Amino acid sequence: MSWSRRDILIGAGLSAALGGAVLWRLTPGQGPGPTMALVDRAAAARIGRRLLDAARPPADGNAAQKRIDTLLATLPAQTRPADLRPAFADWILADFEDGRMVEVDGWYLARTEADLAILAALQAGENHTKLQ
Amino acid sequence: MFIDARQLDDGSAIACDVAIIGAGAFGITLARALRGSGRDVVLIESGGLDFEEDTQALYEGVTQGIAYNLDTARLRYFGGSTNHWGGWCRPIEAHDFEARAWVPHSGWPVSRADLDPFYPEAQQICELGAFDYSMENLARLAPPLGLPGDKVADGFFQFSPPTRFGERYRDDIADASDIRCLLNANVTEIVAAHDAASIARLDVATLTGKRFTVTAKTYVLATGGIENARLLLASRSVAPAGLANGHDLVGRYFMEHPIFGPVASWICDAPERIAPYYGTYTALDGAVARGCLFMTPEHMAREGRLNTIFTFTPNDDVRYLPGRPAEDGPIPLETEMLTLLSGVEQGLEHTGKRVYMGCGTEQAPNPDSRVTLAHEVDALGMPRTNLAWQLSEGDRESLMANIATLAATMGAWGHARLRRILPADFAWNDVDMFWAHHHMGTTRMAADPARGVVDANLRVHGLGNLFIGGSSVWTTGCGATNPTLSIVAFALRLAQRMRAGEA
Repeated sequence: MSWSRRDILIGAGLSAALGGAVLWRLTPGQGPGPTMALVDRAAAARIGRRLLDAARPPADGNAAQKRIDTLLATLPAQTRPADLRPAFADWILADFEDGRMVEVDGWYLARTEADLAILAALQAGENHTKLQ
Repeated sequence: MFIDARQLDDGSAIACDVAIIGAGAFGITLARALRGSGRDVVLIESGGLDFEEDTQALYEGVTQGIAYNLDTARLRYFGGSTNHWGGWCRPIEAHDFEARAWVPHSGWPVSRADLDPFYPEAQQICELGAFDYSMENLARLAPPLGLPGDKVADGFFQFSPPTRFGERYRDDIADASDIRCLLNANVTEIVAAHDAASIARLDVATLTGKRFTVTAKTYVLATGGIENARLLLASRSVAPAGLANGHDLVGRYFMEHPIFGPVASWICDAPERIAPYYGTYTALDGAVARGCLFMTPEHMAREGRLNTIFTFTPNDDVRYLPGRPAEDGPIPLETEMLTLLSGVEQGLEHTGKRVYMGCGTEQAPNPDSRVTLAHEVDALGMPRTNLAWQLSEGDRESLMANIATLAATMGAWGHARLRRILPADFAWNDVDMFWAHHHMGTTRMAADPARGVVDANLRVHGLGNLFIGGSSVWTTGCGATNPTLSIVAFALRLAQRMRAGEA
């Protein structure tokens, strides 16, 4: 999978926020950024698309990106890609425990997984556009 | 013995020690419990031993507010509504008796400790298992879900066969030398003495035109949550506003338990964690049990909520294949949710579980939700019921918040995602719901006569020899807990007090 413009933007944002702490995300060919925490990005992208189509908060890519960046900033400097999934799992559980949820088609998602889904949808959309 | 009141002489005068109006769960239990006490009991039942349409039609009335079927909610023959009850049993929770600052008009003048001595025998009368509703008891069969946090708790109901009191205890009544059960006998007025401080007699009529009186030292009204209020309000020859209605409380605070089919479904990536007892009737040491979920008192206090009891309905297996785009199915995003949740390998098919959740929910006491008398009269000349049942926006918000809390708890569990089925903006008048036929609140219990119709011992404030039984004395809705078991426990408590000379 190649990097999309969104991934580069995500990576750049992260780089600025973290001062290079997770520079692996800026290395082309290493994956799609934080959405690699998702088991099935295509499935997540479908959820994210529904969130974006709903066009109500938090269906906002920039806001989702900011929240994800904030979470990533809490990771240790040498965090490896393999550690990303358990970190997101913890954040998602914490969202549910604190009632930070987003509704789509009646489903209740943790805000962090909704944010990831939104990013996955934007990513998929740009890849799709690129293939066209 | 049974006596068909239609065979009595017109104008008869029957005297006894205790006159019980209504042969349902409360009346039959009280009469049985008074056997051998030295009291001559007359049990007065509107119907016969079987269903008859003309007697049942006495329930017909008019409704305002929430639509309601008055004529089918109760059964008017020996055994009362135990002739069609579903058998769900669970005691009232200790916290339900307490005053809740966020629920106006809450707080009973009795506590769970006052009923605990009577629940074990009530369990036997309702043909249940041991009086042990602790989750540890059920967990002996299989581990519970183990949901995290302190917002949602596991619990379970026990199921009566269900006991049809009119069949199961018919011989006890027939064989008792100190009980006369008058069938086809309708009390048309509870007549107060001229000082309005006690009851002087009951006026009784049959649908065949016979009229007679019953006099007693003690009277017990136990005809159900709507009829109790109707009969008091219609008893106005001495008190024009109705008997025991000096504070305009009789008939007010009518409560029900709205019951919903699926309000939510959830998908689970670990079906083995869902013990069978959640979804089906399960044997438990001679009892029959079924799991449920409800809000904890701590959470309700923090968030200012009413309670909701969630029950599990039949489950479906859901096969899913992570990595394969899902086709739009009848439930949107379900496969996506499972793959998002499960963290299993792509390319391998997995099986999850879809679980539907029904619920019963609590409504707050509301003085404007009430039973009054209609202008129309029934075949006996009694004013029919006018029911204006109201459910509030607060009741709706509490239910919706409880569904969201369940979703959050499921999510925090790490094995499920929940989808709300009940429309977020539903209106009580339009939503597809059932009723539990639990009629509560119309002769509510309170220590203060200005706040309740009966005292902690079921005695009507200001009327020394009249008691009221049944869930009309409920002060709050008690979550969505079915009342029959507690109605029986209260009857046993009153019987003990009568035997001790305290009532």
